[in-house]
Amino acid sequence: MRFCILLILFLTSIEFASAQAIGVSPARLDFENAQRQLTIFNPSDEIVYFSIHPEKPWFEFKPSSQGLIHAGGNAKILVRPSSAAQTGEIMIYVKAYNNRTGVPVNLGIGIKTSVKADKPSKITGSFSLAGRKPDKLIGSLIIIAVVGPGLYLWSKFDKKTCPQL
Amino acid sequence: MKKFLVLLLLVVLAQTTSAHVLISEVIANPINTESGGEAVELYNPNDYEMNISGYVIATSNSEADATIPENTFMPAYSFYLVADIGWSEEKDNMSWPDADHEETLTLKNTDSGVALKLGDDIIDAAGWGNASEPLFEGEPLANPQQGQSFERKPGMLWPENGNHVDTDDNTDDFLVREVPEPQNSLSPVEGTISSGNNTITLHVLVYDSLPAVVSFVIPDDDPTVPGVQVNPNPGGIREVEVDALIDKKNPYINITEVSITVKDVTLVLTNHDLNNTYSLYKGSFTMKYYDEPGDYPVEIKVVNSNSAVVTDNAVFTYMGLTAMEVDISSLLSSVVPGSSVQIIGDQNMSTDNSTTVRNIGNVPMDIQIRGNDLVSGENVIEISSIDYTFFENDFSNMLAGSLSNSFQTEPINLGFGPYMTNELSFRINIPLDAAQGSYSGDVSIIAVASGK
Repeated sequence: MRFCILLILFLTSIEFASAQAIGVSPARLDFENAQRQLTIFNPSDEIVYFSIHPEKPWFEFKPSSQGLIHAGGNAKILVRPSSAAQTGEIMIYVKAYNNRTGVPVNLGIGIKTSVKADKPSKITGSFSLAGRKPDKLIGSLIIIAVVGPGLYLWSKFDKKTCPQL
Repeated sequence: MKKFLVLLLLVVLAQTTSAHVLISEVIANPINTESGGEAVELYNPNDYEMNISGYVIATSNSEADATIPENTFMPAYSFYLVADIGWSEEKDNMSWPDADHEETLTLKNTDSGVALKLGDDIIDAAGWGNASEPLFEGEPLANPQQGQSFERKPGMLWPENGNHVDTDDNTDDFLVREVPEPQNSLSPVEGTISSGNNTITLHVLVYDSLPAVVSFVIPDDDPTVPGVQVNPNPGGIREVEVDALIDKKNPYINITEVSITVKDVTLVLTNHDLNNTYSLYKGSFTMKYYDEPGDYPVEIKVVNSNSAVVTDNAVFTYMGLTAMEVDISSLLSSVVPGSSVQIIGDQNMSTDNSTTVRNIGNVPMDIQIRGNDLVSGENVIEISSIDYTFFENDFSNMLAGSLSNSFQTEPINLGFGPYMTNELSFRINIPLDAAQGSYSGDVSIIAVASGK
């Protein structure tokens, strides 16, 4: 009886069933005063929320440093050194979050990044999302519809479980 | 070494055997409208006038769809244009000449044809698709695309030299024009041979027999970098589509095969004919997710029916990809204070109740790991109460440690390949004085490309 009282309930179970996955290309970024593209892949079977965290605030991301990627899809993000960038090497972390409760195990990718600071250039080009379903257009509309509420929920979620890298 | 082909002798012979009026151009699938936009052009290849009064244009719609009026004569090497009612207002291009004769004319876009008849005699015919007798000769042409016309050779191949090639095979005798050029009786005459006074002018047409690769396109996944970049597909196969535009250079010599070679594998591309001169070839090759990043050459090889071979080369860069898969999404269950729970890792992604990290990219990777304290209201269990190891469930190994709020790098150097995995074990030690509650926190596992 005493044993049962001492029992503390953390969460329902350890979740092994669904594998998580993430990928980022290229594996390394070298800037020489130019913009580059990061492609973030979600090879898993579930939608993921991602956010990008450089170790130092040296970069600007277009269209955003965070977003959603559908199962099997990818997001293309343009990256360029900001006016605060300095010559050096840092990590840019891309982190994916699952929606598990309790103690979620989140995956991420670290990209070694070297910067040769000079005058920053303007971001040009376009952003695209691609997934198995829905197609690009529908995917983009879903992003618009979901990112707003998602960011709101994320701001709450963040305080509890996911401090900044 | 380039080869050259002399063609015209056959052309001249064909011309000399033509003693009747020919169908020289057909517009069956106009852009603007089917009603008023269709036309049949006739050509007199002879050096004497022809009376075509009462000649009939037969179609699949009617055996006498249009009839040439009485007292109609075609001078030597001249044209005569028969068109659907409304041609003068509805033709695709208002710069085209008016018809010599407008009458209701119905040319189907597919599987049809036209025949020029005099009484019951079939003078000439041109058919397309699955045309029925007698609306074609030999092998019918392919169905016309919208806006195209069929023109009897040499036509645009040899401007101002008429349309006299007549071997009684539509495929051999006609070419496809992307931009039609109908001519009427007021158009300049076009002849191939001027003879008389014991002189013959012989025109010789010379073609380059070597085809050319006009463009060879591999889609670029990263326009911010010069050249063509191809992204791997994490944990899977990347199918890379290629397009090759080939200029046959010589309309009388067909392309027999276009192939590409990538990674010592040769693949034959599929022909998507554009017109008599250009062909678009399409295909794809595959890259595995664990193919090494770097530059890959692609050779394209074109062979024509004259056994001429042309090769060209391109290079694409296969991008580096850091990617991982982990078969656990959340930690912790019911735990008694003072006890510990161990999650044993293994190297098999399909086993339940054990944790595995898999490299699904094409670079070797290390792991950075951290966590946030477990919190239940005001009660906190430090994240350091969770131990981990990446080596044989040995928590005292070099590749083991306790989680902390800052990243710890574990140089597991997990290589890339068809199935490269590493075990990951956890041991959760709950302090004896931990308060009862439902705790939450998080663990982050970050893959980083190994080396500099």
